[in-house]
Amino acid sequence: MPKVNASQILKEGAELKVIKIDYNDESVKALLVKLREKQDEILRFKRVKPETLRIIVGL
Amino acid sequence: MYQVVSFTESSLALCLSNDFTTVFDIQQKPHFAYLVSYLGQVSASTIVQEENYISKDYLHDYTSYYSLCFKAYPKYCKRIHFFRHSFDTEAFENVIEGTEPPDSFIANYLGFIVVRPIPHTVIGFTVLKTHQGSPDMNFWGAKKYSVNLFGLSLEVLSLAFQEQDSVVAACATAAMWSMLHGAAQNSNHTILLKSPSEITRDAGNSSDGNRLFPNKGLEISQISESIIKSGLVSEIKDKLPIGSYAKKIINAYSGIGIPIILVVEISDQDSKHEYHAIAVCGHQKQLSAEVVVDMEVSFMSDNITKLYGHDDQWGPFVSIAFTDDDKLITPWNEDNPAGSDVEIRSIIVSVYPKIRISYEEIEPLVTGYDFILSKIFNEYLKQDLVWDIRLVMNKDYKQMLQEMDPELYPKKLQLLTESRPKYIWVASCYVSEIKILDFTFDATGVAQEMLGLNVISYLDDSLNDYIVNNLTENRPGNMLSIFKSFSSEQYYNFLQDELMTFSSEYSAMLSEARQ
Repeated sequence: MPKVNASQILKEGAELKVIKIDYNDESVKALLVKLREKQDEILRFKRVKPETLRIIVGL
Repeated sequence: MYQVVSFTESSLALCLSNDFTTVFDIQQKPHFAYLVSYLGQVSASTIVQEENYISKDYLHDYTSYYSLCFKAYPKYCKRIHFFRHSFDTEAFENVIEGTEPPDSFIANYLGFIVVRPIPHTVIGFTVLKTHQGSPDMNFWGAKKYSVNLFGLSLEVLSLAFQEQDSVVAACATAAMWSMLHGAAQNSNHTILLKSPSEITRDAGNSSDGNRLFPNKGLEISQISESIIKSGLVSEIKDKLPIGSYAKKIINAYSGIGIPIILVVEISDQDSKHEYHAIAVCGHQKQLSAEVVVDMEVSFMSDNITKLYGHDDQWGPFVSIAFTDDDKLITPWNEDNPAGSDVEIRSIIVSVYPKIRISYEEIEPLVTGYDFILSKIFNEYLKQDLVWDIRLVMNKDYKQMLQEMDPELYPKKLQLLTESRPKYIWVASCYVSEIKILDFTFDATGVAQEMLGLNVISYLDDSLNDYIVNNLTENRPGNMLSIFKSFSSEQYYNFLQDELMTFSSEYSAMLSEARQ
Protein backbone atom coordinates (compact mmCIF):
# COMPACT_ATOMS: atom_id res chain seq x y z
CA MET A 1 0.00 0.00 0.00
CA PRO A 2 1.67 3.27 -1.04
CA LYS A 3 1.78 6.26 1.30
CA VAL A 4 -0.84 8.97 0.89
CA ASN A 5 0.46 11.95 -1.05
CA ALA A 6 -0.69 15.57 -1.11
CA SER A 7 -2.59 15.32 -4.42
CA GLN A 8 -4.90 12.65 -2.92
CA ILE A 9 -6.17 14.74 -0.04
CA LEU A 10 -5.33 18.38 -0.77
CA LYS A 11 -6.71 20.74 -3.37
CA GLU A 12 -4.66 21.56 -6.42
CA GLY A 13 -2.16 24.33 -5.74
CA ALA A 14 -1.97 23.68 -1.98
CA GLU A 15 1.39 24.81 -0.60
CA LEU A 16 3.01 22.82 2.18
CA LYS A 17 4.50 25.84 3.91
CA VAL A 18 4.49 26.40 7.66
CA ILE A 19 1.52 28.54 8.61
CA LYS A 20 1.01 30.78 11.61
CA ILE A 21 -1.98 30.13 13.84
CA ASP A 22 -2.76 33.26 15.84
CA TYR A 23 -4.38 31.99 19.04
CA ASN A 24 -5.18 35.59 20.02
CA ASP A 25 -7.22 36.13 16.89
CA GLU A 26 -10.89 36.60 17.78
CA SER A 27 -12.10 34.02 15.25
CA VAL A 28 -9.67 31.39 16.59
CA LYS A 29 -10.69 32.25 20.15
CA ALA A 30 -14.35 31.80 19.20
CA LEU A 31 -13.59 28.40 17.68
CA LEU A 32 -11.78 27.35 20.82
CA VAL A 33 -14.74 28.39 22.97
CA LYS A 34 -17.02 26.33 20.71
CA LEU A 35 -14.63 23.39 20.95
CA ARG A 36 -14.65 23.56 24.74
CA GLU A 37 -18.45 23.72 24.81
CA LYS A 38 -18.62 20.64 22.63
CA GLN A 39 -16.16 18.76 24.85
CA ASP A 40 -18.16 19.69 27.96
CA GLU A 41 -21.35 18.51 26.29
CA ILE A 42 -19.84 15.11 25.44
CA LEU A 43 -18.68 14.64 29.02
CA ARG A 44 -22.17 15.48 30.28
CA PHE A 45 -23.54 12.47 28.35
CA LYS A 46 -21.94 10.26 30.98
CA ARG A 47 -24.38 11.49 33.61
CA VAL A 48 -27.55 9.44 33.91
CA LYS A 49 -30.70 11.03 35.28
CA PRO A 50 -32.07 9.15 38.32
CA GLU A 51 -35.51 8.82 36.69
CA THR A 52 -33.89 6.93 33.78
CA LEU A 53 -32.84 4.15 36.12
CA ARG A 54 -36.43 3.63 37.24
CA ILE A 55 -37.88 3.22 33.74
CA ILE A 56 -39.57 -0.17 33.47
CA VAL A 57 -38.54 -1.91 30.26
CA GLY A 58 -41.12 -4.55 29.60
CA LEU A 59 -43.28 -4.47 26.56
CA MET B 1 -38.33 -39.12 15.48
CA TYR B 2 -38.11 -36.62 12.69
CA GLN B 3 -39.92 -35.28 9.67
CA VAL B 4 -38.72 -33.72 6.42
CA VAL B 5 -41.12 -31.22 4.79
CA SER B 6 -40.91 -28.49 2.18
CA PHE B 7 -40.77 -24.95 3.53
CA THR B 8 -44.12 -23.20 3.06
CA GLU B 9 -46.15 -20.84 5.24
CA SER B 10 -48.49 -23.64 6.30
CA SER B 11 -45.70 -26.16 7.01
CA LEU B 12 -43.90 -23.56 9.14
CA ALA B 13 -47.10 -22.81 11.09
CA LEU B 14 -47.65 -26.52 11.68
CA CYS B 15 -44.06 -27.03 12.85
CA LEU B 16 -44.34 -24.09 15.29
CA SER B 17 -47.62 -25.28 16.80
CA ASN B 18 -47.83 -27.48 19.89
CA ASP B 19 -50.45 -29.05 22.20
CA PHE B 20 -51.24 -25.64 23.72
CA THR B 21 -50.97 -23.46 20.62
CA THR B 22 -52.95 -24.14 17.44
CA VAL B 23 -51.83 -23.45 13.88
CA PHE B 24 -54.31 -20.56 13.84
CA ASP B 25 -52.77 -19.08 17.02
CA ILE B 26 -49.32 -19.34 15.44
CA GLN B 27 -50.49 -17.54 12.31
CA GLN B 28 -51.72 -14.60 14.41
CA LYS B 29 -48.33 -14.06 16.03
CA PRO B 30 -46.20 -11.19 14.65
CA HIS B 31 -43.23 -13.57 14.81
CA PHE B 32 -44.87 -15.83 12.26
CA ALA B 33 -45.21 -13.12 9.59
CA TYR B 34 -41.67 -11.94 10.34
CA LEU B 35 -40.18 -15.46 10.16
CA VAL B 36 -42.00 -16.28 6.91
CA SER B 37 -40.49 -13.14 5.39
CA TYR B 38 -37.03 -13.63 6.91
CA LEU B 39 -36.75 -17.31 5.98
CA GLY B 40 -37.95 -16.39 2.48
CA GLN B 41 -35.16 -13.79 2.23
CA VAL B 42 -32.50 -16.35 3.17
CA SER B 43 -34.11 -18.76 0.64
CA ALA B 44 -35.27 -21.56 2.94
CA SER B 45 -36.56 -24.60 0.98
CA THR B 46 -36.72 -27.53 3.37
CA ILE B 47 -37.53 -28.06 7.06
CA VAL B 48 -36.32 -30.96 9.19
CA GLN B 49 -38.35 -31.31 12.38
CA GLU B 50 -36.53 -32.99 15.27
CA GLU B 51 -38.81 -34.28 18.06
CA ASN B 52 -38.06 -34.71 21.78
CA TYR B 53 -35.25 -32.19 21.82
CA ILE B 54 -33.82 -31.16 25.19
CA SER B 55 -33.10 -27.44 25.35
CA LYS B 56 -30.93 -26.49 28.31
CA ASP B 57 -32.39 -22.99 28.46
CA TYR B 58 -35.96 -24.22 28.49
CA LEU B 59 -35.07 -26.90 31.02
CA HIS B 60 -33.82 -24.21 33.44
CA ASP B 61 -37.04 -22.23 33.01
CA TYR B 62 -39.05 -25.45 33.27
CA THR B 63 -37.35 -26.29 36.59
CA SER B 64 -37.82 -22.85 38.07
CA TYR B 65 -41.40 -22.29 36.95
CA TYR B 66 -43.29 -24.64 34.63
CA SER B 67 -42.63 -27.84 36.59
CA LEU B 68 -44.23 -26.18 39.63
CA CYS B 69 -47.47 -25.42 37.81
CA PHE B 70 -50.56 -27.53 38.50
CA LYS B 71 -50.90 -28.24 34.80
CA ALA B 72 -48.41 -30.77 33.41
CA TYR B 73 -46.19 -29.02 30.86
CA PRO B 74 -43.81 -31.30 28.96
CA LYS B 75 -40.07 -30.84 29.34
CA TYR B 76 -39.20 -31.87 25.79
CA CYS B 77 -39.17 -29.40 22.91
CA LYS B 78 -39.17 -29.67 19.12
CA ARG B 79 -36.28 -28.31 17.07
CA ILE B 80 -36.92 -27.30 13.48
CA HIS B 81 -33.97 -26.93 11.10
CA PHE B 82 -33.93 -24.97 7.85
CA PHE B 83 -31.98 -25.71 4.68
CA ARG B 84 -31.62 -23.67 1.51
CA HIS B 85 -31.72 -26.70 -0.82
CA SER B 86 -34.59 -29.07 -1.56
CA PHE B 87 -34.39 -32.71 -0.52
CA ASP B 88 -36.70 -35.51 0.56
CA THR B 89 -36.67 -37.94 3.50
CA GLU B 90 -34.67 -40.53 1.58
CA ALA B 91 -31.88 -38.09 0.65
CA PHE B 92 -31.73 -36.89 4.27
CA GLU B 93 -31.52 -40.46 5.61
CA ASN B 94 -28.73 -41.27 3.14
CA VAL B 95 -26.67 -38.40 4.50
CA ILE B 96 -27.37 -39.33 8.14
CA GLU B 97 -26.43 -42.95 7.48
CA GLY B 98 -23.26 -41.81 5.71
CA THR B 99 -24.02 -43.34 2.32
CA GLU B 100 -24.11 -39.85 0.71
CA PRO B 101 -21.65 -36.99 1.39
CA PRO B 102 -23.06 -34.24 3.64
CA ASP B 103 -21.50 -31.32 1.71
CA SER B 104 -24.72 -29.82 0.33
CA PHE B 105 -26.38 -30.06 3.78
CA ILE B 106 -23.41 -28.30 5.40
CA ALA B 107 -23.29 -25.58 2.73
CA ASN B 108 -27.04 -24.94 2.76
CA TYR B 109 -27.75 -25.00 6.48
CA LEU B 110 -29.67 -21.92 7.68
CA GLY B 111 -30.11 -22.67 11.39
CA PHE B 112 -32.86 -23.79 13.74
CA ILE B 113 -35.74 -22.76 16.01
CA VAL B 114 -36.51 -24.59 19.26
CA VAL B 115 -40.29 -24.82 19.76
CA ARG B 116 -41.17 -24.74 23.47
CA PRO B 117 -44.09 -26.90 24.69
CA ILE B 118 -45.86 -23.96 26.40
CA PRO B 119 -48.85 -21.81 25.47
CA HIS B 120 -48.40 -19.14 22.84
CA THR B 121 -44.79 -18.04 23.51
CA VAL B 122 -43.38 -21.03 21.67
CA ILE B 123 -40.21 -19.61 20.09
CA GLY B 124 -37.28 -20.76 22.20
CA PHE B 125 -33.53 -20.89 21.45
CA THR B 126 -33.27 -19.77 17.83
CA VAL B 127 -30.16 -19.55 15.72
CA LEU B 128 -30.77 -18.35 12.16
CA LYS B 129 -28.17 -17.29 9.63
CA THR B 130 -27.64 -13.53 9.36
CA HIS B 131 -29.05 -11.53 6.44
CA GLN B 132 -27.14 -12.01 3.23
CA GLY B 133 -26.38 -9.53 0.55
CA SER B 134 -24.92 -6.09 0.90
CA PRO B 135 -21.23 -5.89 1.91
CA ASP B 136 -22.15 -2.70 3.83
CA MET B 137 -23.90 -4.89 6.42
CA ASN B 138 -21.78 -5.71 9.45
CA PHE B 139 -23.11 -8.26 11.94
CA TRP B 140 -20.48 -7.64 14.59
CA GLY B 141 -22.50 -9.34 17.34
CA ALA B 142 -22.81 -12.65 15.46
CA LYS B 143 -20.69 -15.70 16.16
CA LYS B 144 -20.32 -19.24 14.85
CA TYR B 145 -22.65 -21.82 16.40
CA SER B 146 -21.90 -25.51 16.01
CA VAL B 147 -25.03 -27.62 15.62
CA ASN B 148 -25.29 -31.39 15.78
CA LEU B 149 -28.21 -32.94 13.95
CA PHE B 150 -28.31 -36.74 14.33
CA GLY B 151 -24.48 -36.85 14.13
CA LEU B 152 -24.26 -34.36 11.27
CA SER B 153 -21.96 -31.44 12.20
CA LEU B 154 -23.32 -28.12 10.95
CA GLU B 155 -22.31 -24.50 11.49
CA VAL B 156 -24.16 -21.23 11.32
CA LEU B 157 -23.13 -17.58 11.80
CA SER B 158 -25.77 -16.00 14.00
CA LEU B 159 -26.69 -14.62 17.40
CA ALA B 160 -29.07 -16.60 19.60
CA PHE B 161 -32.62 -15.29 19.82
CA GLN B 162 -35.74 -16.22 21.76
CA GLU B 163 -39.06 -14.57 22.45
CA GLN B 164 -40.04 -13.65 25.99
CA ASP B 165 -42.34 -16.15 27.64
CA SER B 166 -43.89 -13.34 29.75
CA VAL B 167 -43.49 -15.59 32.78
CA VAL B 168 -39.81 -15.88 33.65
CA ALA B 169 -38.75 -13.22 31.15
CA ALA B 170 -39.97 -10.01 29.52
CA CYS B 171 -38.24 -8.17 26.67
CA ALA B 172 -35.42 -6.84 28.85
CA THR B 173 -34.41 -10.36 29.89
CA ALA B 174 -34.66 -11.64 26.30
CA ALA B 175 -32.39 -8.80 25.08
CA MET B 176 -29.91 -9.50 27.88
CA TRP B 177 -29.91 -13.21 27.10
CA SER B 178 -28.93 -12.49 23.46
CA MET B 179 -26.34 -9.94 24.63
CA LEU B 180 -24.69 -12.54 26.91
CA HIS B 181 -24.40 -14.96 23.98
CA GLY B 182 -22.44 -12.32 22.08
CA ALA B 183 -20.31 -11.42 25.11
CA ALA B 184 -19.37 -15.01 25.93
CA GLN B 185 -17.46 -15.61 22.71
CA ASN B 186 -14.38 -13.48 23.53
CA SER B 187 -14.47 -13.78 27.29
CA ASN B 188 -12.41 -16.94 27.98
CA HIS B 189 -15.31 -18.31 30.00
CA THR B 190 -15.46 -15.32 32.39
CA ILE B 191 -18.94 -14.42 31.12
CA LEU B 192 -21.63 -16.81 32.21
CA LEU B 193 -24.32 -17.90 29.79
CA LYS B 194 -27.54 -17.96 31.74
CA SER B 195 -31.09 -19.01 31.15
CA PRO B 196 -33.80 -16.31 31.07
CA SER B 197 -35.02 -17.23 34.57
CA GLU B 198 -31.49 -16.90 35.97
CA ILE B 199 -31.04 -13.49 34.30
CA THR B 200 -34.33 -12.23 35.74
CA ARG B 201 -33.52 -13.58 39.20
CA ASP B 202 -30.11 -11.86 39.14
CA ALA B 203 -31.84 -8.52 38.52
CA GLY B 204 -33.10 -8.49 42.12
CA ASN B 205 -36.24 -6.83 43.36
CA SER B 206 -37.65 -3.73 41.71
CA SER B 207 -37.82 -0.42 43.58
CA ASP B 208 -41.63 -0.70 43.85
CA GLY B 209 -41.34 -4.03 45.67
CA ASN B 210 -43.27 -6.00 43.06
CA ARG B 211 -42.65 -9.72 42.58
CA LEU B 212 -40.11 -10.84 39.96
CA PHE B 213 -42.09 -13.83 38.65
CA PRO B 214 -44.29 -13.74 36.61
CA ASN B 215 -42.05 -11.07 35.12
CA LYS B 216 -43.57 -8.03 33.47
CA GLY B 217 -40.36 -6.12 32.88
CA LEU B 218 -37.19 -4.85 34.52
CA GLU B 219 -36.10 -1.38 35.57
CA ILE B 220 -32.91 -0.11 33.92
CA SER B 221 -31.15 -0.32 37.30
CA GLN B 222 -32.19 -4.01 37.53
CA ILE B 223 -30.86 -4.68 34.03
CA SER B 224 -27.61 -3.12 35.12
CA GLU B 225 -27.50 -5.28 38.26
CA SER B 226 -28.06 -8.44 36.23
CA ILE B 227 -25.32 -7.44 33.76
CA ILE B 228 -22.87 -7.02 36.67
CA LYS B 229 -23.79 -10.45 38.06
CA SER B 230 -22.96 -11.95 34.65
CA GLY B 231 -19.34 -10.77 34.85
CA LEU B 232 -19.69 -7.56 32.80
CA VAL B 233 -20.24 -3.90 33.69
CA SER B 234 -22.76 -1.55 32.15
CA GLU B 235 -22.52 1.97 30.79
CA ILE B 236 -25.89 3.67 30.53
CA LYS B 237 -26.27 6.41 27.96
CA ASP B 238 -29.18 8.69 28.67
CA LYS B 239 -31.63 10.36 26.27
CA LEU B 240 -30.01 13.67 25.24
CA PRO B 241 -29.23 14.40 21.55
CA ILE B 242 -29.74 10.82 20.71
CA GLY B 243 -29.71 10.41 16.90
CA SER B 244 -26.09 10.90 15.90
CA TYR B 245 -24.94 10.15 19.45
CA ALA B 246 -26.59 6.71 19.32
CA LYS B 247 -24.82 6.01 16.03
CA LYS B 248 -21.49 7.08 17.56
CA ILE B 249 -21.99 4.78 20.55
CA ILE B 250 -23.05 1.78 18.49
CA ASN B 251 -20.19 2.25 16.04
CA ALA B 252 -17.70 2.78 18.87
CA TYR B 253 -18.58 -0.29 20.92
CA SER B 254 -19.30 -2.64 17.99
CA GLY B 255 -15.59 -3.51 17.82
CA ILE B 256 -15.73 -5.76 20.90
CA GLY B 257 -18.70 -7.72 19.51
CA ILE B 258 -21.03 -7.43 22.52
CA PRO B 259 -24.62 -6.68 21.46
CA ILE B 260 -25.86 -3.32 22.72
CA ILE B 261 -29.25 -3.00 24.41
CA LEU B 262 -31.36 -0.24 22.93
CA VAL B 263 -34.22 0.96 25.14
CA VAL B 264 -36.85 2.41 22.82
CA GLU B 265 -39.93 4.39 23.73
CA ILE B 266 -42.99 3.41 21.73
CA SER B 267 -45.83 5.89 21.84
CA ASP B 268 -49.12 5.71 19.98
CA GLN B 269 -51.62 8.38 18.99
CA ASP B 270 -53.29 8.18 22.42
CA SER B 271 -49.94 9.27 23.94
CA LYS B 272 -49.49 5.91 25.59
CA HIS B 273 -45.77 5.38 26.25
CA GLU B 274 -44.11 2.02 26.71
CA TYR B 275 -40.47 1.01 26.88
CA HIS B 276 -39.02 -1.91 25.01
CA ALA B 277 -35.54 -3.50 24.77
CA ILE B 278 -33.83 -4.58 21.56
CA ALA B 279 -30.40 -6.26 21.39
CA VAL B 280 -28.54 -4.50 18.56
CA CYS B 281 -25.96 -6.76 16.89
CA GLY B 282 -25.28 -5.24 13.47
CA HIS B 283 -25.44 -2.15 11.35
CA GLN B 284 -25.32 -0.98 7.77
CA LYS B 285 -23.27 1.98 6.54
CA GLN B 286 -23.54 3.97 3.37
CA LEU B 287 -20.64 6.28 2.64
CA SER B 288 -21.76 9.79 1.84
CA ALA B 289 -20.58 11.21 -1.48
CA GLU B 290 -18.79 14.25 -0.10
CA VAL B 291 -18.06 15.62 3.35
CA VAL B 292 -17.86 19.39 3.14
CA VAL B 293 -15.00 21.07 4.99
CA ASP B 294 -16.29 23.00 8.00
CA MET B 295 -15.37 23.52 11.64
CA GLU B 296 -17.84 20.87 12.83
CA VAL B 297 -16.24 17.51 13.58
CA SER B 298 -17.38 14.80 11.14
CA PHE B 299 -17.78 11.19 12.17
CA MET B 300 -17.83 7.98 10.15
CA SER B 301 -20.71 6.78 12.36
CA ASP B 302 -22.98 9.35 10.67
CA ASN B 303 -22.94 6.99 7.67
CA ILE B 304 -24.91 4.36 9.63
CA THR B 305 -28.28 4.08 7.91
CA LYS B 306 -29.69 1.01 9.61
CA LEU B 307 -29.26 -1.08 12.71
CA TYR B 308 -30.05 -4.79 13.02
CA GLY B 309 -31.22 -6.23 16.29
CA HIS B 310 -33.10 -8.99 18.05
CA ASP B 311 -36.59 -7.76 18.93
CA ASP B 312 -38.14 -10.55 20.96
CA GLN B 313 -41.65 -9.55 19.88
CA TRP B 314 -40.82 -9.91 16.17
CA GLY B 315 -37.73 -11.96 15.49
CA PRO B 316 -33.98 -12.00 14.93
CA PHE B 317 -32.07 -9.33 12.97
CA VAL B 318 -34.99 -6.92 12.56
CA SER B 319 -34.16 -3.78 10.62
CA ILE B 320 -34.13 -0.44 12.48
CA ALA B 321 -33.86 2.58 10.20
CA PHE B 322 -33.34 6.22 11.23
CA THR B 323 -35.69 8.96 10.10
CA ASP B 324 -34.49 12.51 9.42
CA ASP B 325 -35.90 13.68 12.76
CA ASP B 326 -33.98 11.06 14.77
CA LYS B 327 -36.93 8.69 15.19
CA LEU B 328 -36.86 5.03 14.23
CA ILE B 329 -38.65 2.89 11.70
CA THR B 330 -38.94 -0.60 13.17
CA PRO B 331 -41.37 -3.49 12.68
CA TRP B 332 -43.51 -1.71 15.30
CA ASN B 333 -44.34 1.14 12.93
CA GLU B 334 -42.99 0.32 9.46
CA ASP B 335 -46.44 -0.39 8.04
CA ASN B 336 -47.87 2.78 9.55
CA PRO B 337 -45.13 5.28 10.53
CA ALA B 338 -47.75 7.89 11.43
CA GLY B 339 -49.51 5.46 13.78
CA SER B 340 -46.84 5.31 16.43
CA ASP B 341 -43.49 6.89 17.22
CA VAL B 342 -40.45 4.85 18.13
CA GLU B 343 -37.56 6.76 19.71
CA ILE B 344 -34.36 5.78 21.47
CA ARG B 345 -34.73 6.45 25.20
CA SER B 346 -31.45 5.00 26.49
CA ILE B 347 -28.60 2.80 25.44
CA ILE B 348 -27.20 0.12 27.74
CA VAL B 349 -23.66 -0.80 26.74
CA SER B 350 -22.19 -3.90 28.37
CA VAL B 351 -18.41 -4.08 28.51
CA TYR B 352 -15.75 -6.24 30.09
CA PRO B 353 -14.81 -4.81 33.54
CA LYS B 354 -11.24 -4.18 32.42
CA ILE B 355 -12.49 -1.51 29.99
CA ARG B 356 -12.52 1.62 32.15
CA ILE B 357 -12.24 4.44 29.64
CA SER B 358 -15.55 5.24 28.01
CA TYR B 359 -16.31 6.77 24.64
CA GLU B 360 -17.09 10.11 26.27
CA GLU B 361 -13.48 10.38 27.43
CA ILE B 362 -12.05 9.72 23.96
CA GLU B 363 -14.24 11.96 21.80
CA PRO B 364 -13.04 15.22 23.46
CA LEU B 365 -9.43 14.21 22.66
CA VAL B 366 -10.41 13.54 19.05
CA THR B 367 -12.14 16.92 18.76
CA GLY B 368 -8.91 18.52 20.02
CA TYR B 369 -6.84 16.73 17.35
CA ASP B 370 -9.46 17.62 14.74
CA PHE B 371 -9.10 21.29 15.66
CA ILE B 372 -5.29 21.20 15.34
CA LEU B 373 -5.22 19.24 12.06
CA SER B 374 -8.03 21.29 10.52
CA LYS B 375 -6.15 24.49 11.32
CA ILE B 376 -2.87 23.12 9.97
CA PHE B 377 -4.41 21.93 6.70
CA ASN B 378 -6.33 25.18 6.65
CA GLU B 379 -8.48 25.51 3.54
CA TYR B 380 -6.39 23.05 1.52
CA LEU B 381 -8.31 19.83 2.29
CA LYS B 382 -10.42 18.43 -0.54
CA GLN B 383 -12.95 17.12 1.97
CA ASP B 384 -13.40 17.39 5.72
CA LEU B 385 -11.54 15.15 8.15
CA VAL B 386 -13.79 12.26 9.18
CA TRP B 387 -13.18 10.32 12.39
CA ASP B 388 -13.95 6.69 13.12
CA ILE B 389 -13.66 5.97 16.87
CA ARG B 390 -13.86 2.31 17.88
CA LEU B 391 -13.06 0.17 20.90
CA VAL B 392 -11.14 -2.93 19.82
CA MET B 393 -9.22 -5.80 21.31
CA ASN B 394 -5.47 -5.37 21.07
CA LYS B 395 -5.15 -8.78 19.38
CA ASP B 396 -7.42 -7.62 16.56
CA TYR B 397 -5.46 -4.40 16.19
CA LYS B 398 -2.16 -6.30 16.06
CA GLN B 399 -3.63 -8.58 13.40
CA MET B 400 -4.39 -5.48 11.32
CA LEU B 401 -0.83 -4.23 11.93
CA GLN B 402 0.64 -7.52 10.77
CA GLU B 403 -0.80 -6.92 7.32
CA MET B 404 0.92 -3.52 7.06
CA ASP B 405 4.01 -2.97 4.97
CA PRO B 406 7.05 -2.45 7.30
CA GLU B 407 8.21 0.25 4.87
CA LEU B 408 5.08 2.19 5.69
CA TYR B 409 5.43 1.80 9.43
CA PRO B 410 9.04 1.65 10.69
CA LYS B 411 8.01 0.82 14.27
CA LYS B 412 5.88 -2.17 13.19
CA LEU B 413 8.09 -4.83 14.79
CA GLN B 414 8.43 -2.87 18.03
CA LEU B 415 4.69 -2.37 18.28
CA LEU B 416 3.85 -5.97 17.50
CA THR B 417 6.25 -7.34 20.09
CA GLU B 418 5.67 -4.90 22.94
CA SER B 419 3.19 -5.49 25.74
CA ARG B 420 0.02 -3.47 25.36
CA PRO B 421 -3.38 -3.19 27.07
CA LYS B 422 -5.92 -5.86 26.17
CA TYR B 423 -8.47 -3.25 25.01
CA ILE B 424 -7.67 -0.09 23.11
CA TRP B 425 -9.54 2.81 21.57
CA VAL B 426 -8.63 3.45 17.95
CA ALA B 427 -9.47 6.81 16.38
CA SER B 428 -8.88 6.70 12.63
CA CYS B 429 -8.81 9.91 10.64
CA TYR B 430 -9.95 9.88 7.01
CA VAL B 431 -10.17 12.32 4.13
CA SER B 432 -12.94 10.92 1.97
CA GLU B 433 -12.21 7.15 2.02
CA ILE B 434 -8.45 7.63 2.44
CA LYS B 435 -7.16 6.82 5.90
CA ILE B 436 -4.43 9.26 6.93
CA LEU B 437 -3.85 8.66 10.65
CA ASP B 438 -4.61 6.09 13.37
CA PHE B 439 -4.46 7.16 17.01
CA THR B 440 -4.56 4.45 19.69
CA PHE B 441 -5.43 5.02 23.35
CA ASP B 442 -5.33 2.76 26.39
CA ALA B 443 -8.93 1.73 27.21
CA THR B 444 -7.95 0.25 30.58
CA GLY B 445 -6.08 3.19 32.12
CA VAL B 446 -6.79 6.22 34.28
CA ALA B 447 -8.70 9.02 32.58
CA GLN B 448 -6.52 11.78 34.08
CA GLU B 449 -3.31 10.43 32.57
CA MET B 450 -2.14 10.65 28.95
CA LEU B 451 -3.80 7.59 27.40
CA GLY B 452 -2.09 7.80 23.99
CA LEU B 453 -0.25 4.65 22.93
CA ASN B 454 0.87 5.34 19.39
CA VAL B 455 0.00 7.10 16.15
CA ILE B 456 0.31 5.49 12.74
CA SER B 457 0.69 7.89 9.84
CA TYR B 458 -0.27 6.75 6.35
CA LEU B 459 1.03 10.03 4.91
CA ASP B 460 4.16 10.45 2.82
CA ASP B 461 7.24 12.22 4.22
CA SER B 462 6.34 15.66 2.88
CA LEU B 463 2.86 15.67 4.47
CA ASN B 464 4.21 14.19 7.66
CA ASP B 465 6.96 16.80 7.94
CA TYR B 466 4.40 19.49 7.16
CA ILE B 467 2.30 18.50 10.18
CA VAL B 468 5.35 18.13 12.47
CA ASN B 469 6.77 21.52 11.47
CA ASN B 470 3.43 23.20 11.99
CA LEU B 471 3.00 21.57 15.37
CA THR B 472 6.44 22.88 16.36
CA GLU B 473 5.76 26.41 15.12
CA ASN B 474 2.24 26.72 16.47
CA ARG B 475 2.40 25.46 20.03
CA PRO B 476 -0.52 27.13 21.82
CA GLY B 477 0.24 29.04 24.99
CA ASN B 478 -2.70 27.42 26.73
CA MET B 479 -2.95 23.73 25.85
CA LEU B 480 -6.03 23.39 28.03
CA SER B 481 -7.91 25.37 25.42
CA ILE B 482 -7.54 22.45 22.99
CA PHE B 483 -7.63 19.31 25.11
CA LYS B 484 -9.91 19.13 28.12
CA SER B 485 -7.49 17.05 30.14
CA PHE B 486 -4.92 17.38 32.91
CA SER B 487 -2.47 15.94 30.37
CA SER B 488 -3.16 18.46 27.59
CA GLU B 489 0.47 19.19 26.86
CA GLN B 490 1.34 15.49 26.71
CA TYR B 491 -1.46 14.93 24.18
CA TYR B 492 -0.01 17.67 21.97
CA ASN B 493 3.52 16.27 22.31
CA PHE B 494 2.21 12.75 21.72
CA LEU B 495 1.10 13.59 18.18
CA GLN B 496 4.29 15.48 17.42
CA ASP B 497 6.62 12.80 18.82
CA GLU B 498 4.80 9.93 17.17
CA LEU B 499 4.75 11.59 13.75
CA MET B 500 8.48 12.23 14.02
CA THR B 501 9.04 8.48 14.08
CA PHE B 502 7.77 8.35 10.50
CA SER B 503 10.49 10.65 9.17
CA SER B 504 13.14 9.19 6.90
CA GLU B 505 15.85 10.20 9.42
CA TYR B 506 14.16 8.15 12.14
CA SER B 507 13.81 5.11 9.84
CA ALA B 508 17.49 5.29 8.96
CA MET B 509 18.42 5.61 12.64
CA LEU B 510 16.22 2.63 13.52
CA SER B 511 17.65 0.39 10.83
CA GLU B 512 21.21 1.42 11.84
CA ALA B 513 20.45 0.53 15.45
CA ARG B 514 19.12 -2.89 14.38
CA GLN B 515 22.36 -3.64 12.52
